[in-house]
Amino acid sequence: MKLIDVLKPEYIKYPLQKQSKVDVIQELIDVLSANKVIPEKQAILDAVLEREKIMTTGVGNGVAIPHCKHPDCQQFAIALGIHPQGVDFQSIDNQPARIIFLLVGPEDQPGLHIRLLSRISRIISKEETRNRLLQLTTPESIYQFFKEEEAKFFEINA
Amino acid sequence: MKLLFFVLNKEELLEELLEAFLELNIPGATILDSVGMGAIITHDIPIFAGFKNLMQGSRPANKTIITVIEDQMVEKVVREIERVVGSLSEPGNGILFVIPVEQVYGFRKPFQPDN
Repeated sequence: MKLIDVLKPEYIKYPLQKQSKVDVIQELIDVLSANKVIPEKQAILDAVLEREKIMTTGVGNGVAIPHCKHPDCQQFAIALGIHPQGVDFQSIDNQPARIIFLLVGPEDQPGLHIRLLSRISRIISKEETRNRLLQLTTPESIYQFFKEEEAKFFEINA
Repeated sequence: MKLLFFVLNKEELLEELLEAFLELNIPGATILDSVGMGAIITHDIPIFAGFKNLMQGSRPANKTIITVIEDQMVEKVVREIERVVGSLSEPGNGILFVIPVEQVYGFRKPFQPDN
């Protein structure tokens, strides 16, 4: 399994337009909902915000990976939004988040959930990679970018 | 000779375990402060903080005990470790593995039996 199996071009939004953490998360939930890959939106938002209470998913370097597991999710899905100006995510380095992934998935597959989070984190960990990503302005080019970057990694066990 | 490598999750059992080693006439062991991968991932890496409940039996720290023993002692030592910490088939009690040793230098002789 690969990230790009669950991150489709239509799940990518450029640019994100809202100006708060909750609104941006909602924006990405709307993307997945419009593609009919998640159940009721409010339940997902509640679950994502519940996870944020434990510790911020603003992991620093302009990256945030809000996520949740929910019993009504039948499958994993990742939405990705780029916020050119950046949005306050209460990140660990206090820097605004510009690259924001939303990962949602079923409750009964925590192992795969962790593997997908790890893969996102590893792909995006290099500054040079992030800078190249931030040059892109269309979902298609961003999708292609991830396809090429992930080709350097092994397949994740589903 | 065998190298016995045991990660003791329940640090509070270290004293009893070392007493058992002494009773088994194991004259020395190296004890390291250690931390499991689960603890580091869920406590130190923010993105995985939501998975704390998954790390069954995970503790903030543990002890790693390394000792070299005679081949014929392995079964006895493992049995005694399990008597102290509980079955190693149960998660959270510890991890143990034994590997062959080719050469040993600087090793203290076992305590001599009392006259």
